[in-house]
Amino acid sequence: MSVFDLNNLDLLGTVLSFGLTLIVFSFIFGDNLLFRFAIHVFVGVAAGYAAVMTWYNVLLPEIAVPIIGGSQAERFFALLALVLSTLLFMKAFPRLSGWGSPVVAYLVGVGAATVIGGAVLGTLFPQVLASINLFDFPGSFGNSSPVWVQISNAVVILVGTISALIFFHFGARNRHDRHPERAAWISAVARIGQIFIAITFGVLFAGVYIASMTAFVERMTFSANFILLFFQL
Amino acid sequence: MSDDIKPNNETSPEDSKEFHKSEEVKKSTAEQSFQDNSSDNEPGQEGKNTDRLADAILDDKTSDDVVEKSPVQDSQEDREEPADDQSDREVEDKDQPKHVKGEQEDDTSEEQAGPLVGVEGVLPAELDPFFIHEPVKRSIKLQVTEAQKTQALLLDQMIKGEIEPQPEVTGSKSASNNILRIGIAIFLLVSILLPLSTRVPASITPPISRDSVSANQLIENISDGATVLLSVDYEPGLSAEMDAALASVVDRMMMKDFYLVLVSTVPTGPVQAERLLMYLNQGGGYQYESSENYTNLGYIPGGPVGLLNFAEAPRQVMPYDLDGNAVWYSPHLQNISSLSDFDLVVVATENPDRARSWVEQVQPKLGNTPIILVVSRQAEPFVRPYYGSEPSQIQGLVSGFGVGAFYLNSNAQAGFSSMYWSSLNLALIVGGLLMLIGAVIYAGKSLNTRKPE
Amino acid sequence: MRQLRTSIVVAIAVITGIIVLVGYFIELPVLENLRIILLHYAVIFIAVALIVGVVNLVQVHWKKFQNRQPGGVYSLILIISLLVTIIVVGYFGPTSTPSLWIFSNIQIPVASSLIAVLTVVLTYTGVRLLKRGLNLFSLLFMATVLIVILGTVSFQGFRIPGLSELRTWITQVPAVGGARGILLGVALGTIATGMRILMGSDRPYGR
Repeated sequence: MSVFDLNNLDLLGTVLSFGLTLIVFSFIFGDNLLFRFAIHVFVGVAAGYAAVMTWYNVLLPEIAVPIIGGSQAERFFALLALVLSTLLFMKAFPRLSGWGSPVVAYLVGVGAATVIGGAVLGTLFPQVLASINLFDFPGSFGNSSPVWVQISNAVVILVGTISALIFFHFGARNRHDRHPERAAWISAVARIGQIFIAITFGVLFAGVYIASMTAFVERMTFSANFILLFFQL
Repeated sequence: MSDDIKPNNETSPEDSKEFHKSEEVKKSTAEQSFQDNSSDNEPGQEGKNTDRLADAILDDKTSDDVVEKSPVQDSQEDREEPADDQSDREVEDKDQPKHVKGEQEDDTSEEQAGPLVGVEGVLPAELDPFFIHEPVKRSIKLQVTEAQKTQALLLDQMIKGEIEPQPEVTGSKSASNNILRIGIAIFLLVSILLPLSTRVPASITPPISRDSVSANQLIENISDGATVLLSVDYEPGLSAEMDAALASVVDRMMMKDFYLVLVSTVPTGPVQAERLLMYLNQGGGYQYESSENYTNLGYIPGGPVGLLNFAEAPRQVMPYDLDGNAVWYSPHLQNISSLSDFDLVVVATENPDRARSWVEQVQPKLGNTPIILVVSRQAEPFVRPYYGSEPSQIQGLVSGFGVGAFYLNSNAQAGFSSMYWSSLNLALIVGGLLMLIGAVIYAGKSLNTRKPE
Repeated sequence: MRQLRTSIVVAIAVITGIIVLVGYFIELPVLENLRIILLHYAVIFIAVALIVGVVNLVQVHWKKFQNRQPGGVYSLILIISLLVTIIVVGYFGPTSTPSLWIFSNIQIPVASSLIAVLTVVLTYTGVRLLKRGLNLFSLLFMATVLIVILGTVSFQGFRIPGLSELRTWITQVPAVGGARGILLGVALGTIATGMRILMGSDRPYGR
C-alpha cells in the first residue's frame, strides 16, 4: 500500500484541516499558543512552496539545465546568470551584502522602467482618454439608458475623477506666522474629491467584507459537514 | 560664509559653489568624526539624530551651529557599507583637514620611559592636556528651498497625527470590547449555521448581473476547441470566493472543449489551478487531462516584470510545463508564438494590483484577443474603470458571486456558489444590520454630546 | 574608489532602465531583443531574490531558536514545516497528490480561516465606526458600505426595492469616478518615483 493511500490520507487531511480551522478561529478569543503554532506552520509551508516553485520554474530550466546540457550560447547565458545570482545571493549575508548591490541596481532599474511604461501606456493614456470619451454616446452605459441619464452619469464620473485626482495634490503656499495651506480653489475641489474617495473606499470596504464573509461561510460549512460526518460514523 | 539656510533664489552662483565646497569638506570631516565616535554611539542616539535633522529642516530658528558627533545621513550610508570600504575611506581621510593640534606627531613619537621605551605609537598612560579640545562645530542644516520647507512642514503636519500613540484602553473598556467582538462572532456564526441546519434549499442562485451576461456571451462567441490562456492568480486565503467565481467560467469553457494553458504569478497558483480542474472533473463529469486538454506552464515570478517578459516572448520565458515537457511543439500550441495568437485570455485574481499589472503589461500585446477578468469583490472597484470604457481595456468582468448568468447554460454541477449562497445571504444581512445598529447608536450619542456644546 | 563603484552601480540602474523604457515607445528589433534579454535576466534575479528571502527567513528563525529567545520553539516549527514542504513538494512535484494534500489541508484552511476571522474584525470596526467621529465623510462611507452589502443580498428572494439598483449605480458611477482619480494619481506617483530612480536621484539599492 502506498504511503499516500488516498482514503487514509483524505481522512487525516480532513481532520487536520478541521483542527487548523478551529485553532485559527480561537484567535477571536485572543492570541494563544496554538494560534501561533498554526501561523508558523503556515508561513513555513508557504515559504517552502514558493522556494520549490521558483526552483521548478526558473532556476532549473534557466540555469541548471542549460549549464548541464545546453548549447555554447545557452551555457554562457546560464553561467552569467549563475555568477550574477551568486552576487545577489550575498545579500543574505550582511558582511558580503555590498557585492549584491549592482544586481539589485539592475533589478531596480528594470523594475522602475517596467512600472513607468505600464503606468503611462496602460493606465494614464487610456484612462485619460476614457474620461474624455465619456460624452461620446452611446458610451459606457449602453444604449438602453436615456441620453440625459448617460450625460448625468458621465458628468458624475468626470467630476469624481478630476476632484479625486486633485485631492492628492499637496502643493501649498507658505504663509507668514501660519501653517502652509493649499490654495482655496484646490481645497474646495479636494473636498468634493474627498466625497468620491469616501464612496470608493466604502465600496472597497464592502467588497473586502463580502469576500471575507465568503471565506467565513466556506470554513463554517466545511466544519459543519465534518462534524455531521463524524457523528454519522 | 554663514551656515544659515539660504533660499536658492537668494544665493549667487559664486556663493553656491563656495557653499557646496564647504559642505563637501564638512561631510568628509563628519565621516571621519563618525568613524571616531561610532563605537560610542548609544542605540537611542540614531533616533535623536533623526529628530535633530528633522528639526533642522523644519525649524528656521534652530541655532546656527550645532555640535554634532555623527551626522545621520552619513552614518546611515556608512552602516550599509561592507567592511572592505574601510581601506578606501582611510585613503580618502588623508586628504581631510586636521583639526587636532599635534595629532600627527604624537602618533609616531617614541616612548621615552618605562618598559616600552623606544616603541612608537604607544597610547599615553595619562591624559595629555593638549589632547583635550573643543568638539568640532558643524552645521547640520540642509540647503533647501522655501517650497521644499513648506512641503516638509505640510507632510510633518499630516503624519504627526498618525504617529502619535493612541491612549491605552483601560481594563473595563478592553473587557467590554472583547465581549462585543465575541458577541458579533456568535451572531455571525448562528446566521451562517442556521440555513445549513434547516436545510434551506439552495435553489436561490446568485443574481444575474449584466457583466456576467457579457462575459458569458463572449465565451459563447468563441468557437469550440479554442486555445485559452488561463491565469490563476489568487492566494489560498480567498479561494472560497474565487473558486466559486472561476469555477463557473471554467465550467463554461470546459463545456466548449477549450484547450487551457495555465499560468500564474502566484507561487501557489499552479496547484490552485490543478485543484480547481480536479474538482470540476469530479463535479461536472469532465475528463480534462494534462497535455490532452490542458497544460500547466507554472509560475511566472517577478510581478509586472515577469508579466511583461511573458507577454513579449512566451515561448522563451516558459519553455516547459511543470512536468518538464517542451509543450510549445505540441499540436495544440505549435501555432502560438505570441499571446495575441490565443483565442481568449482569462485572468482570475483577488488583488487589484495584480489585475492592474495584467491590464498594463499584457493587454496592450493582445491585439484583438479579448481578455476577461474574474475578480474578487474586493478588487472590483479598482478594476471597473478599465472595463466598459472607451477604449475598453478589458472585454469581460466577472466579480465575486456575480456569476448567475453562467448557470443558465451550465449543468449547474459546478455549484460552488449555490453551496454557500443561502448562508452567505443571511450572514451578510446580519452583519449589515449589526453595523447599521452600531452606526445609529454612535451617531445618536455623538449628536447628544454635541448639543450641550 | 568608492565614488567609482557608486557611479557604476547608478549607471547600471539608469542604463538598463532606459533601454527597457524606450522599448515601450520605439519598436526596433535590436532594442526589442535586448529588452527581452534584460527582462529575462531580471526575472531570474527576482527568483533568486525570493530564494534569498527564504534563506534569510531560515537564518533569522534559526538564530532565534539557537539564542533561546521567546517564541524560539515556534521558529523551530517554522523551519521544520519549511523543510518538510521543500522535501515533499520538491521530490514529488508541485502538482502531485502529496503537494495537493499539503496545499488543501494546511495552506487553504489556515489562510481561509485568517480571512474569516477578519470578518469579525471588520464587523466590529463597522459597528464602532461612527464612535470615532461623526462627519459628512464618515457618514457617506458608512452609508455606502451598508447600501453595497445589503444591496447585494436577498432573503428568500426578497429584496428591498431600489436598493439593488442604487448599489449598481454607486459601484458603476461615483465609485468609478473616485477609483479612476485614484488610479491616475497612483500612475502619476509611479511615474514620478520611477523617473527619480532612472535619473539617479533615488538609489534604493545601496552603493
